[in-house]
Amino acid sequence: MARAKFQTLTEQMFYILLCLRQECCGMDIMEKVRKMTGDRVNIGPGTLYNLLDQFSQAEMIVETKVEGRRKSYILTETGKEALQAEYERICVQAADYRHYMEVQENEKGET
Amino acid sequence: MRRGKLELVWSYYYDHTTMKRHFEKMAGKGWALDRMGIFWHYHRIRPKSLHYAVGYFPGGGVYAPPTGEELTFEEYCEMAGWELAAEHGPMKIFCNERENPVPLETQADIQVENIRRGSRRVRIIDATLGAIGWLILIYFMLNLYFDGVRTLSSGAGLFFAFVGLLLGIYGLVELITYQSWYQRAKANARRDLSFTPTKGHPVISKTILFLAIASAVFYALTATGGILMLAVAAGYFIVYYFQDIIRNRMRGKGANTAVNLGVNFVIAFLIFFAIFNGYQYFNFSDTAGEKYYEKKGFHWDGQEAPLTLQKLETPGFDGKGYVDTQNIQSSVFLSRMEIEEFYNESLSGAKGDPGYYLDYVVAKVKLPSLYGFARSSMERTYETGKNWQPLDPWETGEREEIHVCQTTLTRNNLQIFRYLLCMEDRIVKIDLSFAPDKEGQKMILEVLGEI
Repeated sequence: MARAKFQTLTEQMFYILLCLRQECCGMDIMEKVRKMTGDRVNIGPGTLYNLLDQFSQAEMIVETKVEGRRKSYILTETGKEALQAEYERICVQAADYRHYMEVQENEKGET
Repeated sequence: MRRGKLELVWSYYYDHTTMKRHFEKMAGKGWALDRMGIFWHYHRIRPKSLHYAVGYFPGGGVYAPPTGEELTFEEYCEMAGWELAAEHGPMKIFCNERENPVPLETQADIQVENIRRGSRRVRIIDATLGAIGWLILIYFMLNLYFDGVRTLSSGAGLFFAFVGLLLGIYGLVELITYQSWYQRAKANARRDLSFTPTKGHPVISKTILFLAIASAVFYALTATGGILMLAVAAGYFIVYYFQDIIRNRMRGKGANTAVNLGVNFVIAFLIFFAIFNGYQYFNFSDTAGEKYYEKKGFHWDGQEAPLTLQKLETPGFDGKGYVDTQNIQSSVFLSRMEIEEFYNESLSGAKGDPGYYLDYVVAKVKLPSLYGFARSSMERTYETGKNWQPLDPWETGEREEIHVCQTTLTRNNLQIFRYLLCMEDRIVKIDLSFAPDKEGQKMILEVLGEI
């Protein structure tokens, strides 16, 4: 079920999971992603809360520490697999792009 | 200078886009939202540009204290500069003073799902009320067909039918606008993760709200016992005003559900106790005396019914064992009076001659264009299975000729002569256990034509 739901990850899912390769407090993720992407990706608090909840339910992340209302999480093996799969998917896309562009360039050169 | 402002909530629960825009506009005018219930409560601020966002936290309660998860959600929002301004059940309205804040929701499919789940309970309630509204209207239409005069002369009936229509439209508009938004929003989110703003047609909901209040005030000011209804309606708003404040404060302090509900119930009880007792104490009764009949559109001298078997000088009638009932009602369209005099030993406790019967309905038409409808309606309501037979017009000294139709029926083994008298401003149906002679006809026309 979880695999089907998170077959492909949105940009925000991808970066949340990436942050959680190391133990991280949920509240700090917004700031971490913003810095990691040079302000390109911003995660809204409502979206972050819901995604952490969904990842937890799908056992892609696990709660490691609760200090008051500050909860820390880390990726599980399932989460790591999902992140890796997404990374590979993006790499394949990038490779496809590069290959296509090279072919185009070569065709231009021949003519 | 006013420090606070109240506004009746007029937007649909799911319509976050309209609400967000409205609150931002209000902030520009110097009003910041600080709580909500059936009202939006504002406090005065320096006019400024504020950002608002409406989020939905499925499972959030109205009276229940906030859960740990709910508080965590609010803290996430606080981290991004979104301060909780007001909340009601799953709906949470946040305010942000930052210039370009990160939106509350940045992934469309999650927002769509939260709105669907968060607004479900309110949508079900609205749809149920809407369905009840349409049922009331159907019931009203059926009554209008089978007894149009009685239905149109009932102020309460007209009021409830009108409110039923408004409720029906409100529920239907919400159902249509929500479903069309939800299908589009879901498709857009799935296709390219784009957001779809909600559009709840606030003009329609504002108009419905205005008409509902206006009709309630009109009914209250014109109907018998209307003052009490107006007081109850005012009490309802007072109760909710205090409940909006107390419920939110107690919830914020973590009071448990039972205590919060209990306190609010006691407040409601005390307010309505004061209203009902105040009504009794100041004796606002507007139903006493002759004015009652005048208010209902009829007037005649004396305490007795205007036309009785006694007055018709029926031979051998001594009145023993006879009882009479009356029913009078009035609306802006029609006034209707029905008086029945019949023999009943168990009700009267006396023994007499059971040979007579009288029942008459006088329908005064206040709106001339309704005369044709009232006449055909009475012909239909009082038909007996036999056709109405036109009779020679009844005449009275100074009055013009009155068109009369007659039919017959049997009641408790008694043959009844039923007449329909069409006068200038009224239609009269009269049932008699005897065919009136010229004198009787004259009396009927004079009495029932004048009251």
